[in-house]
Amino acid sequence: MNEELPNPETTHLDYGERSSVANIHAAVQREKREPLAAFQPVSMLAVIAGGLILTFGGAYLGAYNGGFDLNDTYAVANYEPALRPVIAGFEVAIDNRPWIDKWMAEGKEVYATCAACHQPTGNGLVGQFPPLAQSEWVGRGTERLGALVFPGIMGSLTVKGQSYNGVMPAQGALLSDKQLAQVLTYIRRSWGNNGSIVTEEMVKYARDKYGSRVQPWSEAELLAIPADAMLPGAEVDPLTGLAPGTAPAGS
Amino acid sequence: MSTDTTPAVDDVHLRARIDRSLRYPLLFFFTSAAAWLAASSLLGFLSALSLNAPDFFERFPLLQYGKLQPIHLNALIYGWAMQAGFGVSLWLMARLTRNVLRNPVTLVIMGHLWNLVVAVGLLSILFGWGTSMPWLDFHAGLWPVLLLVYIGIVIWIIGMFAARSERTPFISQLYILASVFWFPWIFLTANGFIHQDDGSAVMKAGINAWYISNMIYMVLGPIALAASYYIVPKVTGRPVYSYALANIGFWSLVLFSGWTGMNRYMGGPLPAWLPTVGSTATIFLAIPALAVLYNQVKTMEGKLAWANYSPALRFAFFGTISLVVGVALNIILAIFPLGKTLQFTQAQGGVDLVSVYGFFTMTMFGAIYFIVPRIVGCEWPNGQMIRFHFWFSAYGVGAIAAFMIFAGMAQGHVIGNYTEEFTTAVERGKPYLAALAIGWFLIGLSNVSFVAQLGLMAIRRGRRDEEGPTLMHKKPEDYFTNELVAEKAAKA
Amino acid sequence: MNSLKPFLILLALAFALPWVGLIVYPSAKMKSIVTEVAYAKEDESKDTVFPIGRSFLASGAKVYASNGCAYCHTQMIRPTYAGTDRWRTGWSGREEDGLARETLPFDFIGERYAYLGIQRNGPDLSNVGHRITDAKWHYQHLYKPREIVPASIMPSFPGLFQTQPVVGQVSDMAVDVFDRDGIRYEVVPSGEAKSLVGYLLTMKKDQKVPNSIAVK
Repeated sequence: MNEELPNPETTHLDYGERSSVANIHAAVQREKREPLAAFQPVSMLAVIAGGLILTFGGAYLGAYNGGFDLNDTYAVANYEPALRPVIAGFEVAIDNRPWIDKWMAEGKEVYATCAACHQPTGNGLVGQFPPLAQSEWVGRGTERLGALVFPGIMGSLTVKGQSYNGVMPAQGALLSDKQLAQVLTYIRRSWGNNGSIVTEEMVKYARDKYGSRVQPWSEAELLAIPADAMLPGAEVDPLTGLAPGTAPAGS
Repeated sequence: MSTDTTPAVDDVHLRARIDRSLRYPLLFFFTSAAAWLAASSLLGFLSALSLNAPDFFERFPLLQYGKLQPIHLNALIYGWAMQAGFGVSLWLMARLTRNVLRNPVTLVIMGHLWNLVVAVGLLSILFGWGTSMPWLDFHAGLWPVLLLVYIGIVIWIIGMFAARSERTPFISQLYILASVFWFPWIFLTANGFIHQDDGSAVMKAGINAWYISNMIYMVLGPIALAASYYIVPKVTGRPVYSYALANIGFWSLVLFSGWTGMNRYMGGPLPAWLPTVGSTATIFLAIPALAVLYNQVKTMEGKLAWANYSPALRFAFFGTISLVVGVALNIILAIFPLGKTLQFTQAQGGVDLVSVYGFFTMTMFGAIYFIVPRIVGCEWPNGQMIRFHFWFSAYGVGAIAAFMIFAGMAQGHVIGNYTEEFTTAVERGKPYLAALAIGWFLIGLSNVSFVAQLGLMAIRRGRRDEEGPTLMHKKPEDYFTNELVAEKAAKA
Repeated sequence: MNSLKPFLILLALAFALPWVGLIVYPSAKMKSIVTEVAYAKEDESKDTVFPIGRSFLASGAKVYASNGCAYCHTQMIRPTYAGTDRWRTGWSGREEDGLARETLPFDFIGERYAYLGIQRNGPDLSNVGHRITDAKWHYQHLYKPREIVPASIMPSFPGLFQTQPVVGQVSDMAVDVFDRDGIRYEVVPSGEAKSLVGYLLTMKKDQKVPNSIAVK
C-alpha cells in the first residue's frame, strides 16, 4: 500500500477499465470516513414524548381488549348491538317478500295477545274460549267480525255448535286500525280459514260505524248483522298491498 | 469530535476493492429492480384506470382489477423492493464490515433465479392460479423456492457480518441483520399457516395481515433505516447524533413491529384482543419513527441545506419523513374512533404506499444514487434528471397518498351512511381513482429518468468525475467534500 | 453491542414473543372451534347445530380467489362500535327474523381461508345469498355487470362463460344469444361460473350460533 494518496488528476477510472484497483476512482477518494455514532444523551423531552405514546397506546389496549379472551370477538365488554337510529323518512325495505307475507307476519305478532285466550293454535279452550279455527264468526263476512272486536262480547255465544259463556274484552282502544286489519287478516287466513284480506280502510269504516259503541255485543245483536256482509274497501293485490295493476313504489 | 473527516489511505484502497467486487451483483440487482419498478408503475396505472373505465378494459379480460392490482403490488414488493434491498444491504454490510465479496457469480445466479420465480409468480396470478391473499398472491407452490433463493442471497450478508473486522457494529448492520433474520421467519410462518388444509380460516386472514405489516416494518423498513443511517452521517461528515437514541429506535422497532398487522381486521371475526394489540403496537411505533427522525435531523443540524444538492441525502431524508407520516397515518387507521370509517376504503392502500414507496423506495433511490458511482467508476450523467426523478416521485407518491386518504374519507362517509345507496360510494370514489392513475403516471415518468440514467451507468456511460459528484443544483462555494478536494479546488 | 450472541438472543426473543402470542398459540386454539360444533352428536351437553349447508366451498372459493374477488369485496360485517355495516339493508342477514348479526368465526367453518377482503369497491358479500336468490342474476352480472347495475365498476368475466351452438331450446341460464354465419349461438356459464355462483348463493352468514361454541 502506498503511503501517499495518488494525485487525483491522474487516477480517474477511465472507461477503459484497468485490472488493477490501485487506481482509485474519485468517488471513493472524496468519501469521508465511515460513519460513527456520537453519544448525546436522550433528552427529557424525548422521554416525556415516549411516555405519552406509551400511555395513549396502553389506554387504547385497556379500552378495547375484549377481556383477552380467545372466545370473545367483541372488543368492548358487554357488547349489545346498538339499534339502528330512526331516521325520518327512511323506510327500510328489508325484504322482497310479497306484501301479504309481511302483513300476515305482523298480524301474527299482534295475535300474540289474543293467543292468551284463543291459543296459538286458534283452537281456544273447550268450555272457556271459543276457537277461531274454521269458525263461522271468523271466516265469513268481515262486517260482523269487524264489528265485534271493538266493544267485545258478553254473554253466551255458540261457536261451531258449542256454547260458550264469557267475556271478550274490547280491542278497539288497544289496537290501531292497521294492527286490527293485520290480525283480522291473520285469523281469517290461518288454521284452515280461507277468508279474504282485511285492509286498514275496511277497519277504519268499522271503527267509524261501531267504534263508539261501549256496550259489549250480545249474540242476538251480532246475529242481526248479516253473516256475509263485507266491510267496504278497495280490493288489494296480495303481492303488493296496492290496488291490482298498480306498480309498487321504487320499481 | 474531530472535524477531520479524511479517511486513511488503506481505507480508501480497501473501499475501492470492496466496491469493485460488488459491481456485477449490485448492478444486476439494481437494474432488475428498476425494471420491475417500471413494470409495477405501469401496472399501478392500468389497475387504477381499470376501475375508472371498466368498459374499456372489457376487451382485455385478463386485465381486470382483481388481477392487475395483485400483480402490480407483488411486482413492487418482490420485484423492486426486495431486490433493491438486496443490493443496498449487500453494499452496506460489505462496506461496514470491510469485507470484499468473495463470490459474486453465485449472487448473480441467485438474482436470476429470484427474477425467474417472481416472474412465474406474477404470471401465475395472471392466468388464474392466484390466491387473493394480499402480498402472498403467488401460486402456493412457489414460496418454498422463493425462500430458498432468498437464503441463497442473504447468506453472503450474514457471512460478511460474521467475518467483520471491527467488533462494534454500526447501527446499520444491526438493522440489516434484523431484516434478514425476520423475513425467512415471517415468510415461512405466513405461508406455512395459510396454505395448510386445516386450521382456522379467520386466523389465516389475520396472519396474512400480520405478514403485510411485518414486511413493511421489519423487512423493508430496517433496510431503509440502515441506508439512511449510513447516508446522513456519511454525506454530512458528522457522526450520528445519539447512539442511545439509535439503539432505542432499533429495539423499540424490533419489539413492537412483530405485534402489528392484525389491526387491519379490527372489528372482525378474530378474538378482539388480537387486532387491539396490533393497534396498540402501531401506536407504539411512533417511538422508533420519531427517534429516527430526531436523530437524523440533529445529525444534519446546520447542514440541512445539503439536501438541496446531494441526491442521496435528499431522497433519504424524504424517506425518513415519509416513515413518520406513514406511521402517523397507520395509527389513525388503527384506532376505532378514527379508523372505522376509513376501514375497507382506498385509504389503507394509500398509507401502505407511503410506507413502501415514500419511505422505503425513496430511501433506496438515495442509496442507489450514492452507491452506483462507486461501483461503476463514473458519475450520474445529469443532475437535472435526478431532480426530475425526485420531484415526480415526490409529487406522485404525495398525490397518491393524499388522494387515497381523501377517497377513503369520501367512500367511508357514504358507506357509513347506511341510508345511501352503495353505488353512490362507488360514484364518489371514481374521481379519486382517476387521481390515483395520475399519481402512478407521474411515478412512471420519474422512473423513466431513473431507469435511463441507471442504464447508462450500467454500461459505464456516466459522466467523468472531474468535478465531483453529480449534484442536484450547482453547489455553493463552501460545499467541500474533504480536504483533498478542497485543496485541489484551491489550487485550480 | 460488542458481541453477536446477546444481540441475536434478544432479537430472537423480540420476535418469538409475538410469534407465539399472536400467531401460534391463537391459531392452535382457534383450530378446535371447527370440531366442537358439528360433530357433537353423542354429547348431550353440546348443541347439535350444524352450519347451514354451504355448497361449493372448495371449488367456488377457488374461483373466487383466482379472479381476485377479495380485492373489491369484503365478507366482514362489523359490530356497531366498529362500523355501520349492520344497519345497511341486507348486509347483516335476516333482520326480520332477528338473525342479523356481525360476522363470527363460526361463519367460516368449512372454508380454508376467510376472504375477509381489503376494500369495498363493491358491496359486502357476507349475506348476498339472502339478497340475491336467482342464479341467473349472478350469471348476467358476472357476464356484463353494467347491464345489471349501471353504476358498477366491476370488471366483466367473459372467461367464466363459453359459447356453444344452440341445440333445440336456448338454455335456461344462457346470458346471451347471437347469430353468426347462420348458426345460432348461446353464451352459457362454464363449470367455474357454476361453482362460483353456487358459492355465492349459499353465502348466508347469519345462522344462529350455538351457545356451546367455544375455544377450549
